[in-house]
Amino acid sequence: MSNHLTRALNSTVLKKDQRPAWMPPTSPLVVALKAVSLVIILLLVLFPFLVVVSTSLADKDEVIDAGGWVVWPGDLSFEAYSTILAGGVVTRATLISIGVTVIGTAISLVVTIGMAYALARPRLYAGKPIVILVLLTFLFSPGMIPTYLVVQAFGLIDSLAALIVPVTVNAFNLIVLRAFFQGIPDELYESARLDGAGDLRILRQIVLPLSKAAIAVVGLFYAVSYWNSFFGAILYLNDSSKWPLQVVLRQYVLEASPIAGSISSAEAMVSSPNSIQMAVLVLALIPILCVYPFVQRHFTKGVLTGAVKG
Amino acid sequence: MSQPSRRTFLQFAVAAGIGAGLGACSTGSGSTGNNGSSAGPAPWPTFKAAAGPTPDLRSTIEGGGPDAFLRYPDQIVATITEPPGDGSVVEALIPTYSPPPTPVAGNVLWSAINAALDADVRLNLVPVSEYGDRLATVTASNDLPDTMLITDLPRARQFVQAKCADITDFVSGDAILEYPNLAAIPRYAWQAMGRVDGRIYGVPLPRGRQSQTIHVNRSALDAVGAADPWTRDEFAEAMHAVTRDGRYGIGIQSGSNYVMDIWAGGFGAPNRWEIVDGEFVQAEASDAFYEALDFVRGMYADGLFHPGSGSLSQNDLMNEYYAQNVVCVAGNFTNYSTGTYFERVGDRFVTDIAPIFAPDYKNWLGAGLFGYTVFKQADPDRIRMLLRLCDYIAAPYGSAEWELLNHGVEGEHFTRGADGAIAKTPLADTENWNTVPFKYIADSMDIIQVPGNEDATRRAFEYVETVVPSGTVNPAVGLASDTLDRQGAALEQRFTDAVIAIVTGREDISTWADVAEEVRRDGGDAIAAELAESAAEDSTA
Repeated sequence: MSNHLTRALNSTVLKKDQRPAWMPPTSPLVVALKAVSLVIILLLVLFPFLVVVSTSLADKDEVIDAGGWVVWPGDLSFEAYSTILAGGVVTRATLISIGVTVIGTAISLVVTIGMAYALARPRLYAGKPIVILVLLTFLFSPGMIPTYLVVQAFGLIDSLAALIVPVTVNAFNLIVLRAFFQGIPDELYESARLDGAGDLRILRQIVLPLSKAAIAVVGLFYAVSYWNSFFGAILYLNDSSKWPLQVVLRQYVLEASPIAGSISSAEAMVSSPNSIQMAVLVLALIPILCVYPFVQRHFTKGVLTGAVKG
Repeated sequence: MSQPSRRTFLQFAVAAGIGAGLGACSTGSGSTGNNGSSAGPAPWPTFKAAAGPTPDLRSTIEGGGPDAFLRYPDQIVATITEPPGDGSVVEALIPTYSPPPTPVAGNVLWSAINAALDADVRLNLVPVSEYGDRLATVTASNDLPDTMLITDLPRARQFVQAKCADITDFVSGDAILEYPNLAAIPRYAWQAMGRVDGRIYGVPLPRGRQSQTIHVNRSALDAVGAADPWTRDEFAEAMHAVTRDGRYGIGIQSGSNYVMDIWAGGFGAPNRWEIVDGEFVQAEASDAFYEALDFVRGMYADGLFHPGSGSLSQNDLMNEYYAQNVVCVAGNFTNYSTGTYFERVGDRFVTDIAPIFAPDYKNWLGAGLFGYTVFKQADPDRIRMLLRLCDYIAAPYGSAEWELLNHGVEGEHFTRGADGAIAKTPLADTENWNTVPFKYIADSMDIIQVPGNEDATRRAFEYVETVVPSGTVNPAVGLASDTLDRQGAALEQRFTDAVIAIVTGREDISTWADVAEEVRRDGGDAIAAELAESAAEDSTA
């Protein structure tokens, strides 16, 4: 057993005086089994990532010879990445996705926070009917064609605004934030009122500073949603140069793949090599992997706090 | 965000009602969904072969088949003398299998094509797997593009009749001769598109009629002495012989019904439908289909199918083929005839195609149609201009127009070798017929040419010349059935589910008759009656 593992086990096995009174003593064997189990689980999680990255960096002939998947590339090749990034299509789509995500998340947060704050306050005129209307959107989806007609009626066809406006407020996020705001003690609101603060100042200087965790979580939900936006772009955008990243990358992954029940099966040629498909996955994963660790710590507190209020 | 006005709401309600209105058209007498009219159907467009280079191997198939060219023509000729457009903007809604092109302003190929057309063609590209959804939304709105490719659109006939231009007067009979490249579209493609109430509303995109093809690892088959061509028994023997040491005879991709089309065709089952005493009878009810199903079930029981069959994606299955873990896969003929599989396989083994089965090569023919382009209602001059654009885009292989659309601009996208062969430049990797797919607005007849491989070209040509004349046509192609539009996919899925259950041993094959009976009762009879009615009306043509 290596020194690292021995030290890890020693630090993991709680000494008697460190152990809570209710916790039974744990044998080193059990701890070792737990450690091995965790390592195996960790490998099971990391192995697919390794294969994805390795395949993306492998030569296409090596990928074919290996049956489509490479665990460790013989010679590093960046051909897949250069293919995807050639012509500037992916670069442009990335910028569009970033723009839609940043602007969309900002607009969604502003609107959702404002609406949640209003609905969280007692004595709001028609507050309950509005909440019920919001909840109804959980139960009844408007459907693809009616939504398209509404977007068209607003003149948003072939506009990037069509990726934001129809999904500006998410009912789930609104309810979570409203419940969180309702959990803030009324005394804080009352004292602010006594000091002469209006709703905007109360929201800005009292509610928002106390709601950072919930807002961070809702913001992440919105950001992930905008980043992954895909179907709206296909329906509402005529100009393919406005496609966001997910649509473009999906085309690389599914290029010429027959989709069951679609017209493509008759016309299908051959799919992109696996190296290109895996490079696409890596590119799509990087932004979320970069952002997620910084927001993850807010998750438990933010969501659970909002979830227990009605 | 402003709230929608009452007028906006009413516009929305009216627009939404169009769909219901179109639906109502079909629930009554069904006449709008059927061919034929009191004046009789319009004559089909006159066929006239296009001017182009002489093929090395000319098809002898009655009704038209793909010619073969052993090498790229030395002499490129123009078939269009005047630019067909009028400088106006043309919106075209078409599917794409590729990543998007660079915008037209910086796209040499797209700009060159627009300049040649004298039109600002704006390709409204939609990923192919979502094309049906997009088409449905667009057809529900009143904001139609100038041209749309129709493929598998439910109630397409009602839609085109209500909202698209009737082009009968421009293409019917000898009128098509004004557009010589469109006149070279085989008659079967027009017939597969069908008429609506006896009128013609679209321009078909023709394809060869050979259906799915069995691609084989000829090296592996030769190693076990497999027959070429093979009878049914010789095929089974070969599959048993090659299945060993982690290698399997056959691989089937996910979403497939174990390619029953191929096996049923090989066993002589009628192609989807059979006309018996004037009545349409489903192929699945035939004895030949049952025998084919039993044959496939037996091969599965003997372990000849790759274990991932039915669950592997097309991409994963092809990786298994390239890695020689699977000897036979079903796929598109053009993967062979255009050299795609040769490029992927390299020198690992000899990839080949094998007809099913000698000596009679019975098989199901395809419709020979990818889809058809319809036009937004407009004045006759604009319709003529749009047809001229289609005529240009449908220019035959070996023409200057075809070269521009498929290979791009000489010096930019390709160079020509001393022997006339085309060599692509790096720009062609991002600007090509796939990323700038004008071919889905209109198209010429397929040709066969495996680049740099004359033997494979001859092989592909002989394959088509063998299987198409011996194939059976689907008598329902080009006919109308509202029930088929509404329930066809669901009924087909029930057959697919039953095939998978029986082949994999989850259900006994004796249950097949019950499934066929249920499908017949739950919609099959209605479809058959409507097809018979449609056929009777169309027979006056």
